[in-house]
Amino acid sequence: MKIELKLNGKDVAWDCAPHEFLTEALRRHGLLGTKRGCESGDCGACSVLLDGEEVPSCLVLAAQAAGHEVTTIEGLGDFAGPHPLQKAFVDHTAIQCGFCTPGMVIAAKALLDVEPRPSEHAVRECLAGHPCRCTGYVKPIQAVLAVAATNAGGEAR
Amino acid sequence: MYLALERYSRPSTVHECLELLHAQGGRAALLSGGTDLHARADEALTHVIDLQALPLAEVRASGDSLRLGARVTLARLRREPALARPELAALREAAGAYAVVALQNRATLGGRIMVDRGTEDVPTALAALGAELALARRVDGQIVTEREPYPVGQRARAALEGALVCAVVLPLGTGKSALRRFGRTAVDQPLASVAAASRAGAIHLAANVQGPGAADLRTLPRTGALASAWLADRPADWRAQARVALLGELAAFEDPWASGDYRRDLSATLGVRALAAVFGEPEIV
Repeated sequence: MKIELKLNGKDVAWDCAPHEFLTEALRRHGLLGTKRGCESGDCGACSVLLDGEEVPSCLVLAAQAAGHEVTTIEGLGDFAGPHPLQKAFVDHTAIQCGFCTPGMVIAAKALLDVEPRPSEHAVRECLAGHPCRCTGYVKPIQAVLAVAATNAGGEAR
Repeated sequence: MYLALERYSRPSTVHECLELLHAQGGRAALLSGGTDLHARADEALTHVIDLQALPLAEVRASGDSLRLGARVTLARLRREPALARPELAALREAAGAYAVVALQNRATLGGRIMVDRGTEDVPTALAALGAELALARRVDGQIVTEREPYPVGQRARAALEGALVCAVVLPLGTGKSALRRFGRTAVDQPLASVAAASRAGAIHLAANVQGPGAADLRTLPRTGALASAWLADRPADWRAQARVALLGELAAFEDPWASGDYRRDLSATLGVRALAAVFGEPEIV
């Protein structure tokens, strides 16, 4: 079936099978920053923004995203022009293996878009769905709070 | 993993939706948020019917009731101004207790009702709050809509069979409500939850003792009647009396997660705390 959606600000039209999840469709089209993890909504590694809200793309059929706006980690920034959250994660050494990092950054982006200066509790709640087995949580929390302190992460890019 | 799924539909009317469901028999499923349906990904499912285009996401207060469309997400329940009332606190607490933010953004009120039949906290809150369900069914080729009290007990599963939950209707008043739950960790499915609500000069209680694959959602009318008398004036030992009454009404639901006695005792403790919150008293003394 053919689906049309807005992906990272650009209109795209894809062929996909009815059973194909958004995670797979994104990765099949080269967007490998969206990780394939638990496939049951528990690990947060596949998080993307769907109409500005963080969602687990492993629990969204590609067909469900038709007519909507999807933003992946690639849509936030890149090496040449990283998003303030991406830069903060690097600056705070909030990354080790990096598998969970795209999901955390996406979750933080969704939070800061609606709450530019969140409390630490709100940041912790936002990252609660993103288990990390190597870095831990202190540094990612510090990275998000640092961006919140400058209010830079709340700006749409 | 979906092995047989070959059709995705997005109907725009309730009639079209129920016709599709009827035509496909047991091999089709209604898709709301997908947090449970996709996680299970039934191998035999051939057709999913996505409800996102149906006009079921309204939040409308009118007079003495609040109508919540079945497609309202749990995230919206948490932040919706119409729910920022003490009498609906139990529902907000239940929505906020569900999993994590990303799943709250997808999970819907209708999904929690239809899929769980009581294995999470939202049904507990709705039962205590006196919710009614606006349902649509296909009967003899016609689409019939009806309003029914929130189903509890043995009839909970059968009452919703073949129905599309269109909305939840909550009575509004001036009371208070609270939900107390316990799970092994912050993100685990709860072992039990109890909600208490004061409404029209009476206390209403619902309890849900839960475990993998089963649940026992019930209202607790005898404890509710006892607690109603304490709205104005409470005896010094009201907690002890409430605990005895709760233990008399709760089931000893046993599974590999917890023994029946443990769950029943836990539920009684949660019930006393929910009552204390409604009475405005300290929960732990």
